[in-house]
Amino acid sequence: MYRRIALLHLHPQASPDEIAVLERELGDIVNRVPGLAHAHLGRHYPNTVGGGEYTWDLAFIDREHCVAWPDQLRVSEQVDLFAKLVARTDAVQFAATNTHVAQPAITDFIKRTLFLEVERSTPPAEAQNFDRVLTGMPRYIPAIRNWAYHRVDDDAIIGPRRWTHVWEQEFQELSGLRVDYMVTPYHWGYVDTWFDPESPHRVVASGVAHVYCAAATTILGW
Amino acid sequence: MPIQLIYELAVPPTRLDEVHALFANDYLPAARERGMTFTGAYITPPIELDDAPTTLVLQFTLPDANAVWAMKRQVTDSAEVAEFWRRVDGIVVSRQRRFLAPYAPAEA
Repeated sequence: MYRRIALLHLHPQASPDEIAVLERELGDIVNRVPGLAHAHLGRHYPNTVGGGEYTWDLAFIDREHCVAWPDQLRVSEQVDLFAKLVARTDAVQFAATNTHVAQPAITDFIKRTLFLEVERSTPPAEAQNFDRVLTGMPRYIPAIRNWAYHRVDDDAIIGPRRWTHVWEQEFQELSGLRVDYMVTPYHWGYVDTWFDPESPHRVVASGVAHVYCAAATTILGW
Repeated sequence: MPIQLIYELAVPPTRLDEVHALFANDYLPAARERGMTFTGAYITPPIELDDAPTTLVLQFTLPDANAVWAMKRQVTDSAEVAEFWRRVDGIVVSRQRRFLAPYAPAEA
């Protein structure tokens, strides 16, 4: 699969009726875009950070079918809808080559998405060490049932930020993210030193997009 | 069990007092407001060297993981904290920031 993830920030004045139209339109896109195999629109829980109101997960059968973002909106006849209701879009895309699905039958769960930007001046060995440490989290946090970590395609980023990576998890319970994920020393005492501005070996630029939503069936298992 | 947090600053000869004063005046008061309990300053080797850096170890505790995250959230966009570390980095040879946990061998 070749995936695109879009984080959508709505205009504050969008009405409930308009939002309902948006949700229906974006959820109903699979048959309107050639080569689009899967789509999921998730409304964010409260207290997410930096990613607006929705995560829109899309999976194409291959890279060639993942047309440029403006063309996707045009083909799906959603240009006017976005112009009216969406104030900002952050979108990234990548070949889904680093996905680990131990629980493909997971249902009614929490999908968490993190967009981050590793400073491009980071030496390659240091960046690889960061990758290794970050993707070690599932070994220490059993609540992470499925996970994926990808370097995004630099030439297809939409939005004001130069994101470099997407880190995703699927948790059965909300407490898996809000408690297990946050209280483990592996996270606050080790992984976060690569994000912490007070840490001398920080590599992640400030301002991540940390968002999560409900989902009925696995997205990472597409 | 309180969480231990230590800073290790490798300070060039003659500049220990300067770095400690910078820390005491420009970092410690706000750190306390962020929930960090200062438990002491140490040097290693246990005597100030005149021909090599001496490491100044600054030790804090925090009550739990939630306190750690609360502390981090207050620092994220702090220009004052960024400026403090910029000034420190202009003096020290290197620095580390480490969280510690008690260790006890598993019972047989």
